[in-house]
This record gives sequence, structure tokens and C-alpha cells, in this order.
Amino acid sequence: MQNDDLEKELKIRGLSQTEAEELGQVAKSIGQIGRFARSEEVKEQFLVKLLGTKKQELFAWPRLFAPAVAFVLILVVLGAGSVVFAQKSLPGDFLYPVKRLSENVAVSLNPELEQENVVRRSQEVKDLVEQKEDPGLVKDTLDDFSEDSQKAKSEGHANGNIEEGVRNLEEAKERSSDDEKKQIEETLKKLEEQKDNNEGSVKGSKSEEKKRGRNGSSNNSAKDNENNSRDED
Amino acid sequence: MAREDDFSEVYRKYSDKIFRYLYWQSKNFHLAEDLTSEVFTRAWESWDSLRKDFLQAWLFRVAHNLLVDWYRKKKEVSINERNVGFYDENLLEKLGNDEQVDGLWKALNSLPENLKSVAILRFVEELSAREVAVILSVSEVNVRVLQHRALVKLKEVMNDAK
Repeated sequence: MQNDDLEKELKIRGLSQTEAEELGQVAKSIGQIGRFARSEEVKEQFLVKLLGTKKQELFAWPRLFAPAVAFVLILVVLGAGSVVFAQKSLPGDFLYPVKRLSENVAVSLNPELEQENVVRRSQEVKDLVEQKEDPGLVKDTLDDFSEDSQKAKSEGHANGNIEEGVRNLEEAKERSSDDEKKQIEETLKKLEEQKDNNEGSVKGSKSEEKKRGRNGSSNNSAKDNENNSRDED
Repeated sequence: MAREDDFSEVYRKYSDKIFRYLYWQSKNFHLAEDLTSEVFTRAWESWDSLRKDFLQAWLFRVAHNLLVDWYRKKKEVSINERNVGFYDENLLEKLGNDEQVDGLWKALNSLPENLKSVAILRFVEELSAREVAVILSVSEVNVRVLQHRALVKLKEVMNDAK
């Protein structure tokens, strides 16, 4: 209680300023003498007896960190959950960026998974066409398909997955609108051209290897001849 | 463990206040500690049903009633065995050797019971007139009248002692 408040209360009861101050002083001195505190040890002893708080103190730190740990766990569970749910998402969905991010992480850990992405993109095109989504999204996904298939090929991870992707696009084409059909055809054409280029470059490189092989053997025979003439000398 | 933590916090915050109230009422150090323990044991037993915004007043009220019972039943109120045993002997010695403490006790003890209670709650524990009214089951206006009378009387006694 503030001394000023007490003096005010006393003045309301008709006391003069001096009288109120004198009584306020009495109250103040009573407070000063009257307030003391027991030792913390005695208080802890009582709490230990009543609650068994020693046990609690042993676990005080884990309890202090419990909210932080719970928060991190919630984040981990939510994060993992969103990644799992994101796998079924399509372009334009809220969780689709999470799906793409998780794919990038997976590819960085195992580059062979790039070919899976080709199938996934083609499946997305198929789903978007079936759900009659915005043609803009279909086009973007087709572009991604081209990009992923090119990456997979250039890194030598394409195998049979490109064919599966093509099959998905062919199926999508059957159900698509005119615009979409055109876009799919263009993508497939581009893919075919890439295939030809690659085969051309493979053929080219094979013939170069052959040439090198021939040159190598002629060089060797020249060397052999040289060695033979030295032996004759 | 939140329940235990909350209770421990309340005990650490209010147990000295309750102890002082009981001490200045009785000037019996061990009785004050035993009754303080009893007050908080009861608080713990009914912890879940206690209104936490009304806690301080509830604790003082239980302390006041326990003390009244103790006096009424000619000091035969049995104090639960589980609450006996922990005393701050250093504080006991310090209070015993302090002349000012003795002077204050004499002054407070010269007051009628109702004035004494108001004086301890208002001037030692600095509770509001409203809180004191709740604890002692009187009106707020009555508390203000009693505190004025208590101060006048205390001033006289303290001046006489000088």
C-alpha cells in the first residue's frame, strides 16, 4: 500500500495534513519492522515434502526446453506431412512447389532419379488435361517435361522412362483440347528431334572412335616396323 | 508438472506473507510455521478448484480461520503431523533478539483483535482495503474506519514506549 494513498484516505476521514502524515509515518515504520522473510531452504524443504519437488528439479531443464522441442517436432511433422501430401499435387496447387523442391533434393542425392521426374511431368500433363485445367499450366508442364527429359538424356539416365513419358503424353493428347493437342504434338516433335540429334551425335562419335582406332593401329604398325628395322641392324 | 510448478510459485510468493500474518497475530514462531504449512497443504489439496485470481485472499482467509480455531479450541487444534518440522532457526533467533520486533509486537498486541488484524494486513502486508474486507468478512468502509483507529492507537502506544 502506498503511503500517499493512506494519507489521502485519512484526510478524507477529516484529518489534517500533519495528522495524516504522522499516522502515515506510523504505518510506514510498522511495515519496515514487520516485514521479514524465511530462508529459501525452509521453503524448499516444505515443497519437497509436499510435492516431491527434488524429482522435478532433476527434470527442470528438459521441462524448460519442452516447448522448444515440441515446436521443432511440430515443424518436422508438418514439414514431412506437407512433403508427403505434396507428391499428389499438380501444377497450380499450393503444395506443388514443395513437390518440385523435394524432387530437386532427391535428384541432388541420386541423379538417376531425374528420369522419374520425366514420368512425373508427363503424368501431370495427363492429369491436368483430364481435369480440364488451365491450358497455360499444361504448356508450362510440357516445357518442364522437355527440360527434364533433356536433362535425363544428357546425363545418360533416360533408359525406358522417356518412352513411358511419351505414352502418357499420347494418352493425354487423345483427351485434350485443340490447343493442348497442338502443344503436346510440338513437345513430342521436339523430343523426337532431340532423339535424332542424340542418335546422330552418338553415330558421329562412334565413327570418330572407329577412325581413331584405325589411326591408332596404323601408328602402332609403323612403330612395329621401326622396331623391326632396328633389330635387323 | 505444470500444476506443481504453479503451486510452488504461489508458495514462494505468498508463504512469507502468510507466515508473517500468523507470527504477528500469535508471536509464536513455530505455530506460525505449522499453520503456514497447513494453509498451503489445504491449498494444494484443493488446487484444481481454487480461483487463482482470488488466491491471496483465500490463503489469508484460511490462515485467519485456522488461527481463530486454534485460539477458540484452547490451542488444541491438532496440526497435521506432515506439516511439522521445518523451521528457520536463524530467523527465530534474529527475531527473538530484535528490540524493534518486540516493540512492534507489544504495540500490535495492545490492539483489539479486529484492529490488530487490519493493522497487520494493511500496514505490514500492504493489502488493499478491499482485500482486507474480503479476508475479514467486513465492509471496505469498515476497514478504513478500523485502520484509522488502529493507527491512532499504535501511535499512542509507540509514543508511550519512547
